Amino acid sequence: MRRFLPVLSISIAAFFAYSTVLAKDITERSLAVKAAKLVEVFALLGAFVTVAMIVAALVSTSTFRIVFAQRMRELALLRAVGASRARLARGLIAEGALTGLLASVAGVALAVGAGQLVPLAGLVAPGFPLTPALIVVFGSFVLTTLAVLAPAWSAAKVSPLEALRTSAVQDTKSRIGGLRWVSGILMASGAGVLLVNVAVEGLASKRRPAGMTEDLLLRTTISGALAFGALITLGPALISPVLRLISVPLRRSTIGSLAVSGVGGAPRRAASVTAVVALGVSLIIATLTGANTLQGLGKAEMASAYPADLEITGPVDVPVLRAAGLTDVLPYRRAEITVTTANGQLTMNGTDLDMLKLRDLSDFQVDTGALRDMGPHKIILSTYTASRLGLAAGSQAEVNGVRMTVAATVFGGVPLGSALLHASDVDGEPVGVLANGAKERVPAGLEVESLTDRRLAQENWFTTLVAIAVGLLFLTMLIAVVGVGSTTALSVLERTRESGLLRAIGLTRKELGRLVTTEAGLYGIVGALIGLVIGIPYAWLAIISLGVEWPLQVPVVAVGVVVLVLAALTAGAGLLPARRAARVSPVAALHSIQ
Amino acid sequence: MLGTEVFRRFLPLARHVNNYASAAVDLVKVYGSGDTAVRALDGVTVGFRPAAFSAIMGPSGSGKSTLMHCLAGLDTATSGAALLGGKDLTRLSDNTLTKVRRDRIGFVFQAFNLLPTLTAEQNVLLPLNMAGRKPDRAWFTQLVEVLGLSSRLSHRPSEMSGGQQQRVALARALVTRPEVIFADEPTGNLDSRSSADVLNLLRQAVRDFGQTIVMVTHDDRAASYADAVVRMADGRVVQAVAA
Repeated sequence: MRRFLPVLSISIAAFFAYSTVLAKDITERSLAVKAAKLVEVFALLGAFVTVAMIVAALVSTSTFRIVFAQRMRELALLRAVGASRARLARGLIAEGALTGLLASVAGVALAVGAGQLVPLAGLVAPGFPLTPALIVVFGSFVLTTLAVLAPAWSAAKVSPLEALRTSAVQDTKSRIGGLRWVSGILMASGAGVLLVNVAVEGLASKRRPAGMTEDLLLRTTISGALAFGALITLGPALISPVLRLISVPLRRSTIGSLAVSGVGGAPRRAASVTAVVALGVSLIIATLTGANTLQGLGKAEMASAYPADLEITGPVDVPVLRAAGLTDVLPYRRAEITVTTANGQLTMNGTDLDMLKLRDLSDFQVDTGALRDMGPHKIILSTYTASRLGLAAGSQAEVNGVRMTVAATVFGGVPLGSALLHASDVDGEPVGVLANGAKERVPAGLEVESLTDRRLAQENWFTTLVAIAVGLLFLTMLIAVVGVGSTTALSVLERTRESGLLRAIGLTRKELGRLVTTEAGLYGIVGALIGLVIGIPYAWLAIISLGVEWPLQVPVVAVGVVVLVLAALTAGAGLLPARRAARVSPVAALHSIQ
Repeated sequence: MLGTEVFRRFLPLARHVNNYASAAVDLVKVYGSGDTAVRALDGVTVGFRPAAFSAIMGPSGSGKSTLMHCLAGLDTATSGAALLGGKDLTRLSDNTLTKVRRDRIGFVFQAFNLLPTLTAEQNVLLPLNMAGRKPDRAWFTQLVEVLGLSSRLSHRPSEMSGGQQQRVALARALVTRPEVIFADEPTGNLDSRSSADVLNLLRQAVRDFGQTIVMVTHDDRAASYADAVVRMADGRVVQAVAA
């Protein structure tokens, strides 16, 4: 079992990958046509599968390292009786690659098995697409082989003398080599420079040439990858300061401080596990924050596109509508206007709608100025239009030859057109009204459109997409949690003597169990905190790169929930190892060699 | 048999159980079952006096470590009684037993068994912290001085020699003022100078602090420091000698 721990995460990733293939197969069979939107969804899925694979490879590298470290004596013995370093390394790599192959076949088989259960849910059963299956198996096999290379080589470097040592191998070094420092700092500064560069460029340019958004997104991705690389490289040196920071409340209890010193005692291991958790968390946080921000923008765009329940066009009698039971009846008049500034000229549709009277006013977000400042010879514009014309609240422009002042600019657009004018600046009769209430109440003979229905359809699509993305990322997190579980399991095995001692001098079974789960939970919390620190700035950067005219909105509650759930999940991953540790009798534990 | 004779003469235990800090009465421990069963302890009756330095001697496989584990509440017995201060430990639940070990027993092991991530001071204070007890600073300072650890308190085990580590372990055992300290081959991993050092300190703890110490060893020289020696072979006491 212990030999398969490093490839458990690979199994899950392979399962995940082939499940995606099967899901695509099911959708194609049941829809018969490839819907355009689904192509995007599966592109997104593909990206997540890639992330899951990277996470799995990192988890298995770190687990291989631990498993090999535990076999140090056996390996040293082999060296002592004449096995060469290269031979030892080859053996370990072959072993890792073989278990990796088994793990990927198991993952694919599991996905096929799960696919057979699909008809129970009333859907079409998937087929068995052979080529993708082979690709998944081969891909995970290659990944495992790559993951085992470094641990195998460093394990093979063991000195034959290690065979004669009685004490367990301890990884207490938090110091990292000069080369590692240099490359880590280089990566970190590269990430920082790119970050500033994207932020400055993205914020400065209101009118973008074609391809600039893609270019900024690419740079954001590179910067993120560099930041993650720096985290992995500098990790062992970061663990103890981060631990010191978060362990303050734990230090008061003996078990808490033992857990902190247990995690801090193996900084390399802690670093690699927490880096994986951090990667998952930062992606989830970035997705949530990005989605929240886009949702805010979406809400404003919705509010502007669908400012009321109903839109009734044609000449209307306001008192009649009120008498019919409709509320917030707002008549408006239309005017085509041409706005001229030093930056250029734009012709657009404007109305004299009184925005302040809208029911969903709170969904709008004012960029500059204030809606209350509206008055004669004043104009309200969308942020997008205003920035194209080089305008902001307080600046002036020629509107149809009349000098007007911009009262406010609004993110996400203004209702019913691109500009709002004051009633005294528009001539003619009302051409329609906005009103709230049921469609059935509108007197017959009027042309009416229900904006609510259209709005709901749009909102649902977006919410579903976000839910799918976060769900998939949580699956990725599951791999990280498995990593925490196997790391804890192995570190418990490695420290059997230590738990024996603690039991001997007075730790009860329950307390020992709590100690182990606390350690596992700590991996999660440290990872989550690092993930937060990385995730939020990159969410902001992604928003800037996309050129979205909307301020960053961090969903504090959702982020808090993610961190808590993660801490609970990782602590849960420590439950099995904790039970195992608590079961061992102190005598047996004290006499174990490891 | 000589052993039985000697022990009848020295230990009319059943009636004087309360005179001993730690005692075994007809203690039996069987490992495994059926044909492969091994009687590690074959009806051992023995007692260790308070404020004395006793040694349990015997070749490997004689059952001396098993005896110590049962007396220290680390292992369960098959039958018989393991008494600490007149109270039978064999009938206690795991949780109660853990608290007995924590509050009333001290341990010194052959492999030192310090926590590698804690400093010497943290290692010494660990049993008190676990019990949620406040350390007696004066006692702590006295111990640290007697054991010559004053300049080592902030060091981790990896930065100390074997002798120093064993002295930290000794301080950890003494700091709770336990009723009995069980030392399992405390000099087994030490050179002769450090061994003499540690044995002298054990004797000093008995003489100066009135500490009760029971030491398991197979080394005659180590046993020569003790006030009383119990010899074991094949799971039985073969000789009990009071110095």
